[in-house]
Amino acid sequence: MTGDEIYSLLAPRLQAVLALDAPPAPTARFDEDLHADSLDLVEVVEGVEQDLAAAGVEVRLPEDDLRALGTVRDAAEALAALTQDSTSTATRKEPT
Amino acid sequence: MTIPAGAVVVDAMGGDHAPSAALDGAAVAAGRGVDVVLCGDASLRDRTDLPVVVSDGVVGMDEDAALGLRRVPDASIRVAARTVAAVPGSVLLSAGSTGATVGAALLELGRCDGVRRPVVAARVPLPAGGNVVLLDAGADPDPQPDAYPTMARLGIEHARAHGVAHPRVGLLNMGVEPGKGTRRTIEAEGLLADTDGFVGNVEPGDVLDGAVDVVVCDGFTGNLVLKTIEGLSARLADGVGARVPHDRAAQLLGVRGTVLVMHGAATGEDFAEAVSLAAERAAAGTGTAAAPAARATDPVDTDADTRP
Repeated sequence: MTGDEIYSLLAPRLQAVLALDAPPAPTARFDEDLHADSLDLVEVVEGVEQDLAAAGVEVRLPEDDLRALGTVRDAAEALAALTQDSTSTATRKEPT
Repeated sequence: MTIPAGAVVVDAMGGDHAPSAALDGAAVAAGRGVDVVLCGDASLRDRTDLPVVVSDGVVGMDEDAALGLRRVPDASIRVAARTVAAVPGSVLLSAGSTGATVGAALLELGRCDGVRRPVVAARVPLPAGGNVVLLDAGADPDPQPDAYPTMARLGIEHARAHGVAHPRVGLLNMGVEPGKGTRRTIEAEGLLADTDGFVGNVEPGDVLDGAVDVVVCDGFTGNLVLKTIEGLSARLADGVGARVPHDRAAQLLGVRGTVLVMHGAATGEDFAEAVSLAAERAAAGTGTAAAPAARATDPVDTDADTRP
């Protein structure tokens, strides 16, 4: 899936979790612009992962990658990259 | 395993004295007739006759709670929240990381409409009798000002559920004059102006005098105020050989279910009292108004005790 396709899943979940009046722009920064903390990010990312799982794509964003997300676009592209790792199962191995 | 509707689901691995305190307290409460289910390591089954839903690991008190929930997907607090989501009218009780409890509740139970972040509501006993609802007592240490009206609404609903028909609401501040405090409280004061029953800023002394029924503040301030009141009153009571009755748990408001949190230092006695309190809340159905209708009727079968 492309970053734009993932963004279309991310944006409404961010809007709901962060109680925003409108979907956030791709360039919106989680910290400075959206005041999102790690719990917000986990809730949104797990929601998108569930959306993808329902579509038959199993992905899981590692904690270190989640912690490093700066913008909405970063999140969309990170998840999109996971979906492109494999056509069916794209779970990245966790660092040990 | 069949878990009765309305059961108290205890995160047995949470708290400074886990799991012994939870096991001891749950046994006492069960002896009083409360339906108690424990969530924790499989080894707990060697230490109790109570039902155990098996989990795998815990979220540490010293790690980012949200990332901890991610790192340990079957942590005891998350399995406990998952169990509550599956059993109508059940109540979650934990002495573990408040952040992890908030996160597990959001991820497994979901938030009530219009709630950005859940808050912890503590009922604080007043010297002259009665209680005041203090929130947030620690769920969100750094809320945005626009969180305050929702916080007040949740506090009002909670006070009404405990018999206060027309709750008066105050914003905890360093002075009662309008415009006092930090940039956050000044903005919050303006946003609270349209809240029914809002009386303006209140000082801690006014709160203890019963000037309001609900007092709102950020979770950092609320946690310190609560611990100061509890610590001071306990020490003064010890000096005269008395005991101060108080709730052993506070309620998390804004999630779709009833969740109670305890101090990390909770003892077996604290757990016994908190489990009994949780059972009362389950029977009364004092979840937030936006919670789904909970029916304390039929038992629910769950296979959660057998991990895949």
